[in-house]
Amino acid sequence: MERFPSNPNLPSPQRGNLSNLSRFVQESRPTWPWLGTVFALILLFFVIPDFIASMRPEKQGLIYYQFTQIALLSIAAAGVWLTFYIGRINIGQGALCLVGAYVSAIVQVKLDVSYWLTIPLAGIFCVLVGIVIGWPILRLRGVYFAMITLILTEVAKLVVLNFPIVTNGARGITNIPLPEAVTLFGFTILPEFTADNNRMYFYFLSMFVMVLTFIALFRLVHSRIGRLCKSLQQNEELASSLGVNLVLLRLIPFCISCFMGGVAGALAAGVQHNVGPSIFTVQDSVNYMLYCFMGGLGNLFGPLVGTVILRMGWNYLTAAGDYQLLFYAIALIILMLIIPNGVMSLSPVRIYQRVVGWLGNRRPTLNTVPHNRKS
Amino acid sequence: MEQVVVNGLFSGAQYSLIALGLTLIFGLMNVLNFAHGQMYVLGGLVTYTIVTFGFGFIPPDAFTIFGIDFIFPIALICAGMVLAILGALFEKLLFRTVIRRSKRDESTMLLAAATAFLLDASLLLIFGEKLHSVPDLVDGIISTDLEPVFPAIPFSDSFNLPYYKLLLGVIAFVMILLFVAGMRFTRPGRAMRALAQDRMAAQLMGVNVGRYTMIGFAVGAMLAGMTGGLLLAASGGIQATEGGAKSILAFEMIMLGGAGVTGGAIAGGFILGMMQSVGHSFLGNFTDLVIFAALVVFLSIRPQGLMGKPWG
Amino acid sequence: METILEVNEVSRKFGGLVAVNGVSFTVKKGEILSVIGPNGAGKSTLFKLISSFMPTSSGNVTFRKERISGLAPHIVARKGVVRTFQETTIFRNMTVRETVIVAHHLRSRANLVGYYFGTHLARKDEREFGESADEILAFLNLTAMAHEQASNLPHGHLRALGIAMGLATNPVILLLDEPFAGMNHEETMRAVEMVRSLRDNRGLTVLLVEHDMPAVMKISDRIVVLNFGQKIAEGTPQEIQQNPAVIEAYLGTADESIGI
Repeated sequence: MERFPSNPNLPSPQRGNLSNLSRFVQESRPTWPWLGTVFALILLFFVIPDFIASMRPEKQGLIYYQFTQIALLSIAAAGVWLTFYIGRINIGQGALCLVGAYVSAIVQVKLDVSYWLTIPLAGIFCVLVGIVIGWPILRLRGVYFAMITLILTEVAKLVVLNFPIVTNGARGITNIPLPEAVTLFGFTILPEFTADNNRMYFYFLSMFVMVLTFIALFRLVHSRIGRLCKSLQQNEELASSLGVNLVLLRLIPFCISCFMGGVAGALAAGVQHNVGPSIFTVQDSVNYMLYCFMGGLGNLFGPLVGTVILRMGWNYLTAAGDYQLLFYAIALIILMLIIPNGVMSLSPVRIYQRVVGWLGNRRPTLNTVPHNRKS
Repeated sequence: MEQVVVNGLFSGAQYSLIALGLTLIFGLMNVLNFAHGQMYVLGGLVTYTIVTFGFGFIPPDAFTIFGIDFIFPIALICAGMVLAILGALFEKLLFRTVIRRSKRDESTMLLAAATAFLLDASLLLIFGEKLHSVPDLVDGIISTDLEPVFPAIPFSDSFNLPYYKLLLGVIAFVMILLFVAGMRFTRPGRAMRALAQDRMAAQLMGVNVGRYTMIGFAVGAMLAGMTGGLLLAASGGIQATEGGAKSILAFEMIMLGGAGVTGGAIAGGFILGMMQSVGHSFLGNFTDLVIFAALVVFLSIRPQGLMGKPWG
Repeated sequence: METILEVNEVSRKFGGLVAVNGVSFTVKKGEILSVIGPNGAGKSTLFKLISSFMPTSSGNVTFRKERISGLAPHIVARKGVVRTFQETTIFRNMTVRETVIVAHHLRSRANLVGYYFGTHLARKDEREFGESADEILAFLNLTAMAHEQASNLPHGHLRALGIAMGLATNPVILLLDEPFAGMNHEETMRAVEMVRSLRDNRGLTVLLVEHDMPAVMKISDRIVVLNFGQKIAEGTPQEIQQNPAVIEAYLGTADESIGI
């Protein structure tokens, strides 16, 4: 997206509806990210909890848990999306999640460190892993990168199974304590998580991290780094001829993606109270990719939208019992045939229009008749 | 050591067949077929079903001629046919549509993953999680129980090779040869090679792209299915859930050899088979980790694999 | 005039084939030097060797007495030796202006962290890049296309976009890869004027690889002729036109007009 206000003195080229509109959105950009954030915060921290509170008490825990999962998965999927932004299809995010979960669990159980510290710690450890692995494999492109990252998840599982002294092998680590309260000068900053309230508190925690993730990602994509990443996505050779350090600029987004994976893993370790070698499998890694694709790779919020749709669908399909995966697969294939470019690719004109209209802006209406799109 | 080499060659031949199918599909359509392992499992289980239950209406000993039971080869061919039809349908109904309609090549990856889920789910529903196996094809064993074959070579020892394994190994080799010959000397084979090299040029030369892409997908799926049948007989059984792991193995092979290249797939299959065989006798559980590390190092030096075109 | 780029005995082998064989020449500051030769003479390979997109088999390239062959392409670009690509190499999904702003990468003073958090320096950089991009686009007559997707641009404008990207990096010497290929006579003459004005107005040194003879004769201060990977002649356009080896190389291999 454009960052600079365009010079009004320059002759205006002929543009179609879409670019007029997107330019309009770009020009009004300084306000709408903030409004969007406030809107999201209100929705996630007041509207949804309020809605859940109106449900039967025994059901509330499960609903909170499902929302928490969506938040965690979308954090990890956001990482996958970011690696796509430099033109790499990453099907190895499950490996980083697994590493993050184990780092958090091991540090808590064996070294007795507070859960709150293990979240960033898991992220940082995953960044180190990302540097070691990413440095050689980021030279690969296209299908090669996809294949090698796919293997990564299996390898992470093998590492866990083969070093039982640290990881407890196939039995996993089952006695992860609930996070304790953090107080500073007598004020309780973070409350104690108990058996009764931990579902709700984990919901707030993971939603908070999710909002933070997407704000950070938004900032990244709209900063110069984002533009450089995009240039890498389009043509690496050309970018390097312009003086872009390819090795560094491939590694930075990949490491950020690993960080997100690690944090998501650490959160999952807390939410589930236990970790085992199969909490993140190859199927999860593939799922992250599916979330990104289904949401739409062209848009930063694609992974979020994709996760919400597919994960909620998956949760609803639990009713189908043994046939869950079958229906899920069929639904995926049908979705794929109808919207091969993802949900966010569906008439951006209308989506922008909605967003702009809702948030109230300088120009109240845009006379763009939505196209009657075939898809 | 001989045992290790024999095991390596044996699994190498099977692996090559899996990799050939995958690389054929990749070369023709630029589709990374995630469902390849699942197709392989499906082939194995179709073979199992026919060998175990026959065709229902035909008496079970109808295929016994001169005292030899031909049910297994017939089952193998049936598995190949089922998979070929499935592959053709997948290509025609799903992949073609998505390739036409999507903005990015990578969308096919999503579709392939979805088909993998579909096959996984159906297989699990139909066959359950238990291990399915068939009796040995023929009895007997080649064995040098007492003495090493080549005493001069260090690590030399005795080895065992059951006849049925030898037979299956030979079948696998013959299938590889047939495939290579088919790609080289038949008209569809030549058309497919042309397609893999330059789609546009092939189209201009009058190759029916749609038809040969479909044939290629079908042949790739067929190879996976027949290999499934072979390995079912060779390896003591197949589980409905092992498809994903097999796909990953196949990916390792074609990365090693170079994606989209026939020779690369064969080389990758044999190298991986040999590495696993050697690794399991020296490194035990760490084999797969070491192989992965070696693969990463190798690919960072030679990103296109052994024989691949750069960024093929 | 000061020599800024020196090509010393550069060779490149592909297996048994010698694509470039012991080529040497120098480029002086502020001149336009063309490398020409029939098809397959090794021009493109030489171009990649000079811009360090391909390692040399032997010999080296120095820029201001500093060896640049063997360095990573982005480091060579950072030193001021910037190449352009042929027209198909663009950032397809970016607008023209965005592309040129990205190409200002080498001029950035803030670091990536600064850009992320939008420090004062970073914002100042971005403002300047925007202004500079507009200026470059105006210079190359691309202003009307500024908000068009790069992939939608017509032929001639793509070429200009390539040069715009090169200019944005603020190069000392600009290497142009077949800048006139696929243009008709009129377009070529306009492009020739443009390249000349780059040198005259911006003090750039230009090295170009080209096979359009009339354009090369018109634009160049000096010409280096390659054939079968070897340098067969070097001199002013007049000298080259009369050089028997050059005439033979061209007439002997193809019925292409030499434009004399």
